[in-house]
Amino acid sequence: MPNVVVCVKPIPDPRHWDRLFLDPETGVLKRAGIPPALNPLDKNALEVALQLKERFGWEVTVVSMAPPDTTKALREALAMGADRVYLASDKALAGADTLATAYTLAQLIRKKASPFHLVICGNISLDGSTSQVPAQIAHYLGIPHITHATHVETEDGQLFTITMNIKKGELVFRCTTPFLLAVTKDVNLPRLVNVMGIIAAETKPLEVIDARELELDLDKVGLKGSPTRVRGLFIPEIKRRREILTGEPEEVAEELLNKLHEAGVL
Amino acid sequence: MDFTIPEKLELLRKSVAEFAEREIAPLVEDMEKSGEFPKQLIPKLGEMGLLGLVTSPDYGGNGMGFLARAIAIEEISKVSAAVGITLQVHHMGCWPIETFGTEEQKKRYLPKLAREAIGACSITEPSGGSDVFGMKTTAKQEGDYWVINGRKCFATNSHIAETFVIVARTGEDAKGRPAFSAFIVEPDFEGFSIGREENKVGFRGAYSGELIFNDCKVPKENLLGKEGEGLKIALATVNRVGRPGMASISVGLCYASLEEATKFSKERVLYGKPISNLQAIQFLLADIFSYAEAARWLNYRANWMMDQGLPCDTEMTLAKYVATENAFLCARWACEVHGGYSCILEYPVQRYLRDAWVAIPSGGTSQVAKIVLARHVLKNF
Ligand SMILES: Cc1cc2nc3c(=O)[nH]c(=O)nc-3n(C[C@H](O)[C@H](O)[C@H](O)COP(=O)(O)OP(=O)(O)OC[C@H]3O[C@@H](n4cnc5c(N)ncnc54)[C@H](O)[C@@H]3O)c2cc1C
Ligand SMILES: Cc1cc2nc3c(=O)[nH]c(=O)nc-3n(C[C@H](O)[C@H](O)[C@H](O)COP(=O)(O)OP(=O)(O)OC[C@H]3O[C@@H](n4cnc5c(N)ncnc54)[C@H](O)[C@@H]3O)c2cc1C
Repeated sequence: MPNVVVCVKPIPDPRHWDRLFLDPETGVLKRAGIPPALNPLDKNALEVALQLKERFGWEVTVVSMAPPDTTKALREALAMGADRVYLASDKALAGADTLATAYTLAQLIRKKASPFHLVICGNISLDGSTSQVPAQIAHYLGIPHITHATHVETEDGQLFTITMNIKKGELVFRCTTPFLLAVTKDVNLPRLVNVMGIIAAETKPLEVIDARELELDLDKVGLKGSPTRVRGLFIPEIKRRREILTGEPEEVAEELLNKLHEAGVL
Repeated sequence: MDFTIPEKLELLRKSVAEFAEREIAPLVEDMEKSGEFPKQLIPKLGEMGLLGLVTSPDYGGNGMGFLARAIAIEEISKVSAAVGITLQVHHMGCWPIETFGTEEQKKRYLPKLAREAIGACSITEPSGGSDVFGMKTTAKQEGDYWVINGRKCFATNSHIAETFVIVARTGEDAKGRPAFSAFIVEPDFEGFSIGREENKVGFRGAYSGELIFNDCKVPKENLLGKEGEGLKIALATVNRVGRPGMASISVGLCYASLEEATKFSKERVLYGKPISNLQAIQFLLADIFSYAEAARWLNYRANWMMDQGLPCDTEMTLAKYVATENAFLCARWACEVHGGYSCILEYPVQRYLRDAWVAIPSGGTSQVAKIVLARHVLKNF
């Protein structure tokens, strides 16, 4: 059965971010007690996959790397309509940077979700927010990637037309499978989970896999396999500034407009 | 004893909350103004699986049960109590058919009700709300039909339902007391019509109307349960479906009040600080929270008992009484936190207060609940 793989990252539920805090001593993000939720864009990624499933009968496999207590968030992906979830979870994987994350996910895809037509990611996570993982996964899998996708079209499930918004227009790509796609929120409106989906999800497979089973090179995973070193973390200071513009209303308006442009808010 | 909400019900809560935010919230203002129910919502409630929550999979539902229903109605009612009562009375139209109906009746009505059609359950008459024996509508058997005459009022879903479970007087029992029977009525039965629609202070957008039976011909296979079982069916439906439904709506209103009051208190600045710094305001929030939690957990217990197949009529009445009264208090306190802004229609707390007011008589008044509870107390303590 042709397979479409979706990378889904559980993150601390954004509705409770007022409870997140950065330990100024250690630089560690404290997320204890905050329930996990799915990274919002990964739901858009899943929606692309589910529509392909409905059209072409493909199976949708979700892969993830996260602590084991995130299974309840991942159940939501099954309730939306995914067929199965593979969660790579192991103490050895903790502290991974984007490279180690991508290596692990690529290995998980190779071991459990191959062959595949397509790997779909969110374009960026709401917590780590590096936007690096999709391209890195594609690198490890040796397939092309298209990121920042705002529109995905296909007639036959083989040749895809992908639109990417750029600053002053659009880029349109044509690409045949297999490739990796990273989507933005403009690509679709993810479906809501319904009661039937919740009931069906209860019996769908959600498998937690450790590093040994994935036959990972332990030098390339977790903190040990992460070349990125965080030099410092700080909470940006947000300050109010005040400036009074004087002169003729029209000149002042012009000046205000310029200042807003300079500040990058317009 | 384990008070953990099962994972799948947590997911249900989250999903229904998202649904309510996406599909219902944008409709509320219009419902408040026009008093009309947005019919386009019906198929969406069906697709979400909310119409089929208490109908078993054998008849096209999903049978997720009463605790699930309590959570779903709570989340819907946080956004719109009017959609909450529409849904809850719809379930009152499904449950008696599955519980007391024949195989043919279940097959004929339930799959559609679980997917795309709205049901209703109408007992109250101008002459009898609390006093069920005051019901005057009659049904007489004539050949292959029951001929019904009379008038029902306060029928929720009057103008959108495709199936009505109704109760009428069909004679006298052995002791000479009036005997009642239940029937399933379709809107296009000869002699049936929908009368006026009440213009209510709360639950705006949910229909409460009159049903008029004028020599209405109901095929004899539409008798629900046995002849003479009407009161039993009506009371079971009100007790086990209607009361927890009203309780769930009220719990939703309690939490909506809590959220709005808390938000406002953090935003409203007086004397240079948010009013949430004032202990008098904090005490109001503490009260809303306490009354909301008490209502919620009485309701969960009653619904959990229902799912376990335990007798729960007293617990359902208790939950309904406490939750509706608490919702009114919570909404009032939330209004207090808002000061003058509580009187402005843009702020939803005034709507919670109006909805909570209307929730109190719906499904039986507080006095009637207290009669039931006192009877229990005198017997058991
Ligand atoms: C405060 C903070 C600072 C960090 N700083 C750095 C840093 O400077 N350098 C660094 O390399 N790492 C850093 N990390 C770690 C980084 O979050 C992880 O490597 C993370 O697993 C992937 O990076 P991302 O969240 O930025 O993913 P992104 O690249 O933004 O994610 C894009 C998409 O990739 C997929 N994806 C990403 N991660 C997973 C996953 N675990 N499981 C399944 N799919 C996934 C999803 O589809 C996601 O939508 C930091 C984390 C935090 C919380
Ligand atoms: C929004 C809404 C929706 C409704 N939906 C439905 C529906 O779908 N189907 C349906 O059948 N009905 C429905 N009802 C009707 C509801 O069940 C009745 O309003 C309720 O039972 C009370 O009846 P009543 O209004 O006739 O009040 P009455 O019975 O006339 O009560 C008047 C007062 O007398 C008090 N009282 C009555 N008896 C006693 C007693 N023995 N001891 C002490 N005090 C007493 C009552 O508590 C109340 O204070 C709905 C009502 C509302 C407001």
